[in-house]
Amino acid sequence: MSSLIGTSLSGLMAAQSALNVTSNNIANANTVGYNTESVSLSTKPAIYNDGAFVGQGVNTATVTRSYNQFVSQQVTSTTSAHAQANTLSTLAFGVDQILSNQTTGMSTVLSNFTTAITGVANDPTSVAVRQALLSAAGSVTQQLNSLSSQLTTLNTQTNGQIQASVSNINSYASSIADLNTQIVSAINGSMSGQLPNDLMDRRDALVAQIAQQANVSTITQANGSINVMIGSGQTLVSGSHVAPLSVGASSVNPSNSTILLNGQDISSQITGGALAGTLNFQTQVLNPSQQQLGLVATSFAEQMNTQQAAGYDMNGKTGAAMFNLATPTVIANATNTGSVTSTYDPTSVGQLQASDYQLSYNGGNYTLTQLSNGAVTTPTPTAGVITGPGFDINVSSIGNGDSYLIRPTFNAAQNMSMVMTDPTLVAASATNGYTKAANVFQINGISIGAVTGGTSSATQSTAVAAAINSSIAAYNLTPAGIASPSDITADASTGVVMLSSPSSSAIGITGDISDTGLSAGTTPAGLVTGSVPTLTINPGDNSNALAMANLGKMGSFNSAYTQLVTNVGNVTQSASLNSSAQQSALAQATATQQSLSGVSLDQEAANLIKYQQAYQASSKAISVAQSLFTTLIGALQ
Amino acid sequence: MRISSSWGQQTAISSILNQEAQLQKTQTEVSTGIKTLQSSDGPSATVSINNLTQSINQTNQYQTNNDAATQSVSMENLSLQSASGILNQMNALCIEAMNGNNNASDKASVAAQIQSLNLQLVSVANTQNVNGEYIFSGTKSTTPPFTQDASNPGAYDYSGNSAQRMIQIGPNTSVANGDPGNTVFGAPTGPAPATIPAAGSVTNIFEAINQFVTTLTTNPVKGSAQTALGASNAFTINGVTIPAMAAPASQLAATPPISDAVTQGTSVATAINLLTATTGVTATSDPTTGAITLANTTGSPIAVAGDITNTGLTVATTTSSSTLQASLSDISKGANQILSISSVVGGRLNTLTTQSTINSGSVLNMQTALSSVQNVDEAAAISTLNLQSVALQASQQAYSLVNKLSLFNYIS
Repeated sequence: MSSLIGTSLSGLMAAQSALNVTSNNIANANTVGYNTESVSLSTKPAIYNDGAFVGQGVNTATVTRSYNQFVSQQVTSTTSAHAQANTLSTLAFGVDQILSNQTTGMSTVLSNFTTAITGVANDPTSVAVRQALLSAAGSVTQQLNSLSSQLTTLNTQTNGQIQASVSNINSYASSIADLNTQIVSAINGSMSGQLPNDLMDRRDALVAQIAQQANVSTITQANGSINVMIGSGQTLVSGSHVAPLSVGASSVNPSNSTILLNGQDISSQITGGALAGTLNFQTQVLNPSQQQLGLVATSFAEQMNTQQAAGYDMNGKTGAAMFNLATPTVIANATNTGSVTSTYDPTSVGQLQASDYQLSYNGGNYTLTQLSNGAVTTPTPTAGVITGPGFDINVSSIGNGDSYLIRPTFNAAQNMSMVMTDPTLVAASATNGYTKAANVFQINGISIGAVTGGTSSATQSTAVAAAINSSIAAYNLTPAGIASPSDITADASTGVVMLSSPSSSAIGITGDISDTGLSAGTTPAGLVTGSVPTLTINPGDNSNALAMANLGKMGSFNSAYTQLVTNVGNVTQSASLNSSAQQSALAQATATQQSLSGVSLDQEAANLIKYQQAYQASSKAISVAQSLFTTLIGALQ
Repeated sequence: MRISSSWGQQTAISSILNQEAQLQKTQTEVSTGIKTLQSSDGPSATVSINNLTQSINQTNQYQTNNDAATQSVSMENLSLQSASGILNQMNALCIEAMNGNNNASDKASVAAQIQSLNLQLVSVANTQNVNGEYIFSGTKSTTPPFTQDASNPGAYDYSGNSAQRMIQIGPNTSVANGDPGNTVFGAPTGPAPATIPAAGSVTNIFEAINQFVTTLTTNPVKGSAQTALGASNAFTINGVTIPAMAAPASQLAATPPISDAVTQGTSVATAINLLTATTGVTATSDPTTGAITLANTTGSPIAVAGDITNTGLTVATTTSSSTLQASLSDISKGANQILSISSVVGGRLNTLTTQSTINSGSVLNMQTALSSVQNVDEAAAISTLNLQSVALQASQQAYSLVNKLSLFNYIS
């Protein structure tokens, strides 16, 4: 009898705990990271009684959770891969939109600029048309500045995102360490090594959270705690001990971030998760875009400035620079003892690359490394200046063992400015007025041979003085005037020619003396000081403006920008394709995991019925036992 | 395979969301009509689009240039036509003037008419365009090309230059905007000293016309430059003996002796002018070359005979009619030059028209290519839109159907 009650009671207990587990499953059906728990029952040891082994009921052995290590790891690794591709794709998409958009991109302003230059070439005397060119140039500069600053802002935001990711990882890691301690003590405290399922579920959920941020792997220890490794095997959590991650600045590119674990740079080992996506965004999209934008800005400004200098403006002066580029950024290492400066070289602007350079100096040897492709050269300076592709470095004050980061294109688009405000300074003409056909004039009746004009006041006056000299030399003019070449002087800065006669005899000048630097008339005192040659300007000459228009025509500006846009587009497209592919893989792995450990409400409903019936049956058995006892007692009275 | 309840929900919802996203994209394509809104939609298409857009812009720019050039060239054409018209009138007058039956007053009145036509011609040469630029000044377009020389009233100075402004109307085609005045109307000898060459070799048409008029009324006889100085000469003008000339003693005494054409010319002219009352002839010497010009006011022939070596005079007799003939041939040459420049200008207008047609054809081709790369096929896009919205509706309906199924509905 007692065994009957005992057995039924065990059945009741078992059904009750099974019902508890089922209701727990139902309650946690939507909890993230929850693995379905099930009760495993075992029979109590049988007792030999009356010639047979009689069972003693059921034991609730343990509550197990449906958890498969392999499937779980699949989910973790696909989560990291998907997060990396998704983050890169989303971030790159933003940059792509900015660059491709007609209002924020460069195509419209560059084409307006070309139109404006052609306008000047068609009508070089109109001040209004020149003003239009200056405002178009201003628009180009503004657009470059704004694009560059947008990219810089994105970079700052990205660095912030990286910082946030890292602090998230750190907090998850310390939570995992705490859970490790709790789990170990729970296992030790429970009888027969029962596993604390909910704690372990929570721990696995935290590992999945870290996987979102960076690629992880775990190793389970014998005592129930896990070690978490990040990247390619760097230990993040070991039992209850956490190694903190931190963010530092990259030595190659100070505006980028690197991830440090115990002071060591592990950025290159992080290949999955949002962190990898963000780091890739910096190196594959932001940096190259900034460099190429700077390349567009530098080549545009330098070519325009060079073409300006080759022509003459409306006032007949050599064209002034239209754009100001500042100088290439130089970042010195903290341990340097000397200093260097760098300037752009307009004659080799075509050799500029979208790359930073590392210059180091050791014991008399210079090493220049191009960081985009790792090419190393060992240049020797001429007069303290090293010539790089498109820029020069002045190394006269360099210290031994110094190392510098030279950035010719990175900040160029940000630093470029348009400095010309006066529309008459646009150099549309390729000729100025010193160039003159032959002059014929006489000194004291002596015809001086034709003077072919120079291209500046200096060459003009020198040519005139030389012509006078050679003509005078053929005659002996002592009674009439100028005796020797020393009596003829030409002032190169003003172009004025002076004639003196040592005998103070009269000097008479007649004929075509325009632009010669001489003055007409006769001076009885024997000294003639000429006047500054008048500069005759060719305002209708458009040859230099035509050459400027051809700079844009070659498409060199626009094609450099197109290259930039296409690069970003390519990265974005491949990242988004990758993201879709990874998403399918993630969905597949999650489906497998969910089919194994997800809660199915229908299944739980069936379990409810099952255990309810078992409970009812067991309680019926108890009531039968009770009625048997009552019958027995009644029989004995 | 087991489906957990929450996972089942999630997959259904995410598929609905995906379909909505695709529908959204198709909707944007239909409403903007553009397939590749940004570079990532098609990076290689982006390159073609950018290149085509740039070529189209470039060609449109050429068309604008073409319009500007057509305006200038047409204006030049009109000016040249009016110049030719004036010269036709002048030709008739000149021929009438050379009629031997004219007396001095007839000649004077014809001369005045010719002179006023000449001034009209000069003002045509000094035409300005709408920007105030002088069209015949070359690239010195803010200075008037032809002005009368201050020291020599019959001569003109050309203040422009010989350069042409080129306008680009095609990738390898440029057209000149105008012609410099010294090519169209001939290069004068000025600026100072401006001396007009002998009749028959005058290059500038205004100076040729002026010389015609001067010869008509004053009968000048031009000599040529002499440089070597010799011993005394004796010669006659209209039968009157002009005394021998000697070089200035100071120059002869120099070692080596100085030969100076200008001083010689001055001495000869002075000697002739002393006898003007008798000969009726005045002499002027060229300040640069020393050549002597003889003129009288009656228009009657001037006869020079005797030893005139090194005097700066020309040999024998010249009558005014041969000079006039020579001047007339200068004028004809000038008129022909204007006509030939006219035909060059006409050729330019043709080039402009042809290039304009080529350019617009090319733009059309490129725009077609651009459209095929960039634009959406509206019909295809709309039918895709329909398809996707039907699929979305089906997903949503399936979702609501499946969600109603639960075992809890059947166990009370």
